[in-house]
Amino acid sequence: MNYLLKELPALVDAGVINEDTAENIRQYYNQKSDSSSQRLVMVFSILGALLVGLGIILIIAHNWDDLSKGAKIVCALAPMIISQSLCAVALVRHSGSRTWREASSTSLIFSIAAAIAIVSQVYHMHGDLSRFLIVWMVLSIPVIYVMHSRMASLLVICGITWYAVNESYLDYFSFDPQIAWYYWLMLAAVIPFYILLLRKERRNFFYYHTWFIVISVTIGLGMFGESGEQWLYVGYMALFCIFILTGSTAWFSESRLIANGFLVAGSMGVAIILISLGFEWNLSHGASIQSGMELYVSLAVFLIASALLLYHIRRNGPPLNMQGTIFIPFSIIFFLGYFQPELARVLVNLLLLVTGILIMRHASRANSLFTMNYGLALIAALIVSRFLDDDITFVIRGLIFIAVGIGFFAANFWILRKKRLAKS
Amino acid sequence: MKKYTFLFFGLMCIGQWFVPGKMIADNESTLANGKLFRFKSAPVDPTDPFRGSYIVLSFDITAINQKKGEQWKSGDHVFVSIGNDSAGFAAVKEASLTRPSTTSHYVEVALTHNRYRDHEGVFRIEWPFDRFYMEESKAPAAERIYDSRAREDSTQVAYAEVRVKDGTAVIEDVKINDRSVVDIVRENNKK
Repeated sequence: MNYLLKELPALVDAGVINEDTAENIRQYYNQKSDSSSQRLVMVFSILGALLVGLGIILIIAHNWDDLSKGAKIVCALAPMIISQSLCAVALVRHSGSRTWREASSTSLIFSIAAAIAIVSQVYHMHGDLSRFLIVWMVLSIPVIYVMHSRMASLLVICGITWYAVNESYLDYFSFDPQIAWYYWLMLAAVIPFYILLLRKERRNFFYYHTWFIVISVTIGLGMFGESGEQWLYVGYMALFCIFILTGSTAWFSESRLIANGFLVAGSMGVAIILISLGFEWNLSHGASIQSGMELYVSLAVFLIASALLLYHIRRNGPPLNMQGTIFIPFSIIFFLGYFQPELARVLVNLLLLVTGILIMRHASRANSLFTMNYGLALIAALIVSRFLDDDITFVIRGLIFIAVGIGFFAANFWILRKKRLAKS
Repeated sequence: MKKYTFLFFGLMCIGQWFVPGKMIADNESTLANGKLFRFKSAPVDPTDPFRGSYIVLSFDITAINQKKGEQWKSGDHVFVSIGNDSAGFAAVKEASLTRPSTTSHYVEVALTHNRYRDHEGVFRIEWPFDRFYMEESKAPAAERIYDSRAREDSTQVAYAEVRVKDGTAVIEDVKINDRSVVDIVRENNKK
């Protein structure tokens, strides 16, 4: 950029561009550098607020004994009133500045935690981490909307996920594993903000939100696992198909692949389930079909996926991304597995093979090198894992590996040639 | 639009003040008007990521019997009325699913029951005041003091002084042989 600006006088002298154009170019780059330096300021302000917030919490954790109770309480509440004042200043004086909003909101969220934590410390209050996290998050959710803060919403997604993990996973080995219902309520409270971002500003923060929500919901669904965790396979498969179908809508499919958290996480999830079940169908002990929360939730997710699939087909015709339909054959195979575990295992392997081929077909149409290799990797994973658990001579194994390797070369070469031909 | 933003901002701040405010008010009221009970215990020390170091108090009373005529299950909350035993330590007088109307000296506790571990009709309870927060460097020291004393002197008595009022309980101090654990640690650090 600097080079270009330096060259401008020479270009004007040589008559390549006129003085007006040179001025326009200068202005364009000036503005551009302004906005990128603003973004940098915002990043550092948020980081600063985060560090100060964490620092306050650590200092509080030290719990100095020499202060009187009153002084401790003042210390507990002071960060909150300072942060609230900063938020007020951000709203009144700097309503246009995202840096102000994001930084003050971040500090407010941490100061709420500090306030509750110190007060409960001063009175030696019992209170498990889950309850603390619920109170903290419920008080933090309004910050997202009042301050219109993206950082606040990311922090809330992290906080509620932490609560879900603490309540349902870490307590798993206790005698009554709990279902963290409040997690879903609080998640529902964040979603409107996400939709707002989807409609109004599909930029970096929106992509971060997509990834955070995808990861959070994937973790969250696991809370319904009961002793057997069998039905959850259907639930998870349907969830990943929901992700894939959502990621294939026009809202997401235009963005870069890495920004499309739904599609990437959904595809990977489908592949992981298929590969792991292909190893061993270990779901048939007892062969009884247990009912319970796990079954109802899995059914509900299945129904949502079906509805979304129907909507997709009505809207766009048969879905281009066939991966989004896998939950239906998978559920049939899963049900079959109760009676014919071996057959189910074979069918799951076949399903993985078909998935790989469909992905490669899709890739060749779209001329996408990355997707092509992903499809190939799935098939390779299938082949490699099958030959790990079966008795096959080394020679044949070797030949198969060579064939897979050649397949990779050939497919890449083919796509590259297609791309080159398309360009010329 | 802007007017509403300020209205919601105000409501949000009130909410954020209300929660710690209510916590302070409830605890202060219990400290001022609650009755003091001494719960016999043995302290140990873990660390909580948010709330600094504390000693966990494991009380002598860990389980209660189901009240006749009531059907309890794991996860239920019961109201435990507290009285004193002959040695002057806290004892459970009665426990019930309904809030007692005759006394204000009761605590609400959660029940757990595991049919493989516990006898029928016996429920484990988790007292809502099982933590005593101390300065980071002091909590492990307090635990060591308790351990070493217990070895030297099996007659030592540790207990928590807890104020109880209308279901709320607040720890005032933890004492070993009638001396505050905070003072003992302070003295030991000076040596």
